[in-house]
Amino acid sequence: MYDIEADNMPQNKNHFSGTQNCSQEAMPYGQGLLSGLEAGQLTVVKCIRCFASTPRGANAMMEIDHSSIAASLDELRQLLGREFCKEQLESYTLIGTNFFDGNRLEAQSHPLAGPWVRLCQEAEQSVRDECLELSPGSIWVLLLLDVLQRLVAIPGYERIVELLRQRDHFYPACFEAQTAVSYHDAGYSVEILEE
Amino acid sequence: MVVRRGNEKVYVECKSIKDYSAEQDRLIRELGNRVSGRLRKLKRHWHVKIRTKRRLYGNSLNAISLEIENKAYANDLSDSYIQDSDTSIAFKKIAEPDQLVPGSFEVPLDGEYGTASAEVILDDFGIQYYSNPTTIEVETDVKYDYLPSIRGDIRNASQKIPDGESAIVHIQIELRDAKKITKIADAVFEDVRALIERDHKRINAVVLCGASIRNNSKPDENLINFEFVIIPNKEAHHPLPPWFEIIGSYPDVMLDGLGEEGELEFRLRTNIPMSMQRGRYLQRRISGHGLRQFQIWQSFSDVLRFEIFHPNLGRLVRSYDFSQVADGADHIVKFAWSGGNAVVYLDGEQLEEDASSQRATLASFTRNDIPDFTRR
Repeated sequence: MYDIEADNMPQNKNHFSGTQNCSQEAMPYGQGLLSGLEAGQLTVVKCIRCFASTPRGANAMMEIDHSSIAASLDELRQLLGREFCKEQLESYTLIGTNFFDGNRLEAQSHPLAGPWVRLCQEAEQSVRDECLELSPGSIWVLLLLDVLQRLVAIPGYERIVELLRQRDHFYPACFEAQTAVSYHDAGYSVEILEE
Repeated sequence: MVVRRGNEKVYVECKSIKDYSAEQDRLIRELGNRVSGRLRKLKRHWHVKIRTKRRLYGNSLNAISLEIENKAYANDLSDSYIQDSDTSIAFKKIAEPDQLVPGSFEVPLDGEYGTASAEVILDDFGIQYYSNPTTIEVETDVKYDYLPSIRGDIRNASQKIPDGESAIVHIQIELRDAKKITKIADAVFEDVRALIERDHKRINAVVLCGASIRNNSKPDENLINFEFVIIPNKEAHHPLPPWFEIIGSYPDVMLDGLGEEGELEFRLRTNIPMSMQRGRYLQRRISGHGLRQFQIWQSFSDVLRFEIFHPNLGRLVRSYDFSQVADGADHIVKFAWSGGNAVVYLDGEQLEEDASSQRATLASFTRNDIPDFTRR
C-alpha cells in the first residue's frame, strides 16, 4: 500500500533550478516569453533563491535580493560577454516606434533584449526602493544566470554560450544548457561536444 | 553532449521545436490592429468576425486584411470567404460615424482573440459617451501537428550518434503552457515509439520536455515546472548503462511490480485538501531508462489521471473525476491493469471513466491558450 499525497512526491526532481519566495505568476517559457511580458505585472519578491537538489537533497546555488541584484546583472554580463550585452541587449528600445515598427523590431531583436532592458530598469528601481520587485520575464533572465553559473564548469560550454548570443539559436541553446547542467548536477561527467 | 561515468558513455542530443501558437498570436494581434486602423480611417464602424481554419502566414494575413479593406471601401456588409486560408469573414454595422452613444464601451466578444476600440468622451455633466466603435474578433480552429517536426528532429539527431553507442534525444517544445506537453505527448507517444523502434535503433529514448512557471508553487518547491515525457525504445541496439538515469525519471522500488498486468493499491490521504494538490503528481515512478512508468497526476479540475507504461503493454491513460471525494478521510484507491485494459476502484467500487472529465481537461488546455482581449 502506498500513500498518495503530493507532498511526498518530488514534483521536479533534482535536475533543474527554481526559485523560492517568489511570485506565482504563470510565466510562459521559450517563445511565449514576450507575450508574457505584455501583461506587465510586477511582483514583490523577497529574494530569488535558485537551488539544484541532488540525490542527497537540495543545495542552494544562488540567492539574489535587492542589495545583490546589481552584482548579479554584472555577472550575467560577464558570462554572456560585455560586448554582446552592450550591442544587442542594452541598445534595445521600442520608445518612439509605432505598433507595426515595434512589432517588427521586437521580432527582429535578440529574444533576450526586451527582458534584459526591463530587468535593468526593475533592478534600478528595486535598489532605490530597497525591495526587489520583478516581472516574470526578469525572474526568467535571472534563472538563466543560475544555469550559466553552473554551465561554465562543463568542458566545451563555450559553444553553448556562443549559441546563446545568436538570436535564432537562443532558445534551443537555453534548453541545451539546462539539459547539460541537469546531467552535471545529477553527478555525471558531462562534455559538450562540437556540432 | 556526452555523459560519462568511467569508460562508459551516453550521447545526449538536444532539439527544440517552436510553439506555433505563439507566432499565431502575434500574427492575429497584428491582423486585428491593422484591420481596426483601416476601418476607423474609412469611418466604417463595424464588428468584423474572422473565422479561420488554417495556420496564418504573412501572405494569408495580407489577403484577409485586403479583403476587409475592399469591403470597407465598397461599404459592403455581405460575408466573405477566402479559399486559400479557409477563412470566412462576417461584417456587421454597430454604429453610424460620429454617433454618440451614452454609457461605457463594452463589447461582449465570443472569439478567441479580439480588439475593440472607440472614442470615449465625458460631457460637461460628467456623463460618458462613446463613438466610432470598431471591433475585430478572430476565431481559429487550427490543429497543430507536432509529429512531423518531432520526426525530423529524431532523424537529424539519429544521424549524429556514432555507431555502437547509446543515446537519448531530448526534444523541447517551446510551449507557453507546459501542461500542453501532456496533450501533445498523448497525441504522438505511440507514433514516436513505433518510429524509433523501427527506424532509429541507435536511440534509447526520446524525452519530450516543456517548461513553465508554476502558478501555485509552495515555498519549498521549484517555481519552474518542467514536464518530461520519456518515450523509451525497447529495440535499441545498445542498452543504456545501468548507472544512467534519464532526466525526468523517478526510479523507485515500486517499479519492480509493474508487469504487463497487475494492481497497485494506494491510500488517498485527504488530510491535505485536494485543492492544495492541484497540478501535481501524486505518484510518479519512472525507471531510470524509462522502460517502466507509472504516474498519477491531479489536474486543476481534480481529475486524477492514471498513466502506466510497459514496453510490451504500451501506454495506458485513464482519467477519473475525483472532485466529489470528501476531504478529511482516507480512501483506498486501486489501479488494476491487464491486457491493454485498466480500471480504478475507489473504496472497493469500480469507477467509470468520466468522459466529461476528459472534456474538462481538454477545455482547460484550450482556455489557457487564449490571451485576454485587448481593448483600447
